[in-house]
Amino acid sequence: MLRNILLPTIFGILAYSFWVSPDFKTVAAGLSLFMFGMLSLEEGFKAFTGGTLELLLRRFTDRQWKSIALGVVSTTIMQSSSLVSLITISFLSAGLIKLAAGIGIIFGANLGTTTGAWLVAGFGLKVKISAYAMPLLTFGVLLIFQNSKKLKGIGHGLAGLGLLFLGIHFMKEGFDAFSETINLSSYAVDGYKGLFLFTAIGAAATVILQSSHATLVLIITALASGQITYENAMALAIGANVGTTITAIIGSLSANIEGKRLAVAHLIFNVTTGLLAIGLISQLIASVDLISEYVGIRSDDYTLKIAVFHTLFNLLGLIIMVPFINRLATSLEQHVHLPKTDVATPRYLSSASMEVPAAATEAVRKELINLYEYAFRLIAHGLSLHRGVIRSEQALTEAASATRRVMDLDVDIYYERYIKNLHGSIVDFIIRLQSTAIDEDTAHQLSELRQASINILEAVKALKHLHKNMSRQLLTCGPNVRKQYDEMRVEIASVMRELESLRQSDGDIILSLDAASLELKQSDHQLNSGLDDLIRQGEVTQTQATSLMNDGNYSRHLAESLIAMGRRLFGARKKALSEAQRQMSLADSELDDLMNKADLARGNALEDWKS
Amino acid sequence: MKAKKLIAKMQALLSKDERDIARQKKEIEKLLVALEAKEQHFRHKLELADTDIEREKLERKIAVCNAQRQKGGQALISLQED
Repeated sequence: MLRNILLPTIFGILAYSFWVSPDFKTVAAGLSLFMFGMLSLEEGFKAFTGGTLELLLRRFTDRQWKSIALGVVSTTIMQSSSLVSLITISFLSAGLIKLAAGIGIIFGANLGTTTGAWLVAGFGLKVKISAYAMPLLTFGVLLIFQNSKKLKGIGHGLAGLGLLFLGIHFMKEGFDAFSETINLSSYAVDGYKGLFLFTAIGAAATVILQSSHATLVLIITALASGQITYENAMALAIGANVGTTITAIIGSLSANIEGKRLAVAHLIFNVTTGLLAIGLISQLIASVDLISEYVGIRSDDYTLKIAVFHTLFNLLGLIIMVPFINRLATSLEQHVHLPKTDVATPRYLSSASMEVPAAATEAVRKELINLYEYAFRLIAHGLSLHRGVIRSEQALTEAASATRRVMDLDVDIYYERYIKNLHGSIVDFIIRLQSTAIDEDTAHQLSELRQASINILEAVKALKHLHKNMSRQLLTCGPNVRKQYDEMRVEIASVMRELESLRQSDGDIILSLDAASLELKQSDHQLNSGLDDLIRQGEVTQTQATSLMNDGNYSRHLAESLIAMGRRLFGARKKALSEAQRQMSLADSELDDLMNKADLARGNALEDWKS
Repeated sequence: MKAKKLIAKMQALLSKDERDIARQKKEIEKLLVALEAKEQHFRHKLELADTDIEREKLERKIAVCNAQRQKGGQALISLQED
């Protein structure tokens, strides 16, 4: 209801203001151009998020100081703490960086964003900035029309910068003209009353504009034309810092729990910094005067002094909060969590991780590993084997024959609650991701991952069928049938063990899985010939024989699905390596040939021995 | 003649397909070296194997490595011919 009337109300107020004051119209147009420029700049940087940015994020987040430095540098270059926050939340949601590293980047970004004030106060207001805007816009728009993604990105960046400059110019012009008719500085409020009032106004303005950068430019341009006092401008800057956390909180609504924790950390940091700045306002003003004098800023150059103030109180907040980053991360992990549910919910998939394609693909991969973990547990227990046994070096044949108890397990319920739900979320995420603008390689990777998810689902479905007979017959049937079931259990467990060892190693998994496929064919062959012998010798009834044949098929299908999943999920990610492995990997018919040759060699050896 | 060679080299450097093929060749060569080492490792283990089952398993692994190396060699030749 509120949302429905909010936009028309804002439109109405703005239209009335434009009618009453043409100068306000110029300021508002300047602000709109500035914000549109920021959007264009973000769009430009997003074109380069396919590799470089991810590489930097991964490489520079292993130490806390590196994370902070990365936040400072990336925000300084991109001039958008929102984009840095967005990518950080994306990577955090996808599980690619730790919460402490994410907090470090966000804290650093807060300091990096202060460079914007320096740029506007030091450059934007001192030179005729609109002269630079025109060529930037022209070149930018020309590049946007190119086919190459990178050129388009550069075009968006240049056009964005042009719009930023043009926006600053219009805001300055508007406030200058404004001062001839109305003097807003007559509404200035002194003392702590003014400090709190203008902090609240700054926060509210940032919430509405959804950008502290835009608010700060507005503050500096208004200050430059004498529309607000220096003291009130400082309070507005503090407010802008607090208000920007709202943008992060709104962004985190679509993120997973890690993104939400990061938004809380951002809020704690900015509110603490804001409170510190209010509490130490006199000391900060004195420090700003001292620093300004030291670096040669004129005592009446309030726009540059605001930049000094903005940097100083953010730096102060950073120095005070840095020692607590790890403690804050631990505390957030303990206190901010999702309510426990009976069904498996995705850990890494969220709208936030979908923002950056590379992060989204990694999120899918991690979620699939999560799904595989659930499937591993279900399959192991469905075979009445402990996961520890499969993961150990213990002989599987002995472990299978030593089973004296069928594990109590409702495969259907487990399947519905954990596997089906998670699989559905993964497929849904992939489909939504595929409908966005992704490159050919990413699309191929995603379709392989989707197939891997289907493989897991098929393996679990095969287990459902197998488990029905196996749980009934394992302990009640005769030794011959028991032996057959034990061989099936060993066959599947061997594949699971192989997959476990391969995923821990750095070796060429695809090629190693060829050997696993051959082993599977061999054990399946033995299982079938064993069953043939039993039928020939009348050791099993017709019903038992049919059940064993069916279950043998389910068992093979289960193991084959796991191998196919392993090839897709744990295989090489580099395109050239994956293609090379595909070319060298053995086809099913080639594996059959190898098995026939081995059989022939064994037969010959037996003949030799007999003769 | 030299100019022609230079142009061909420049074309190879600039063409995405050529670069992909060069990368693929490099990866196959690396895999072939790794497979040879793997096969040697299995052969060494085969000499020390105690049971028939273990020996048969290792023989199968060696056969797989061998077949993969053959396929890799053929793929490398066909890439070079291209």
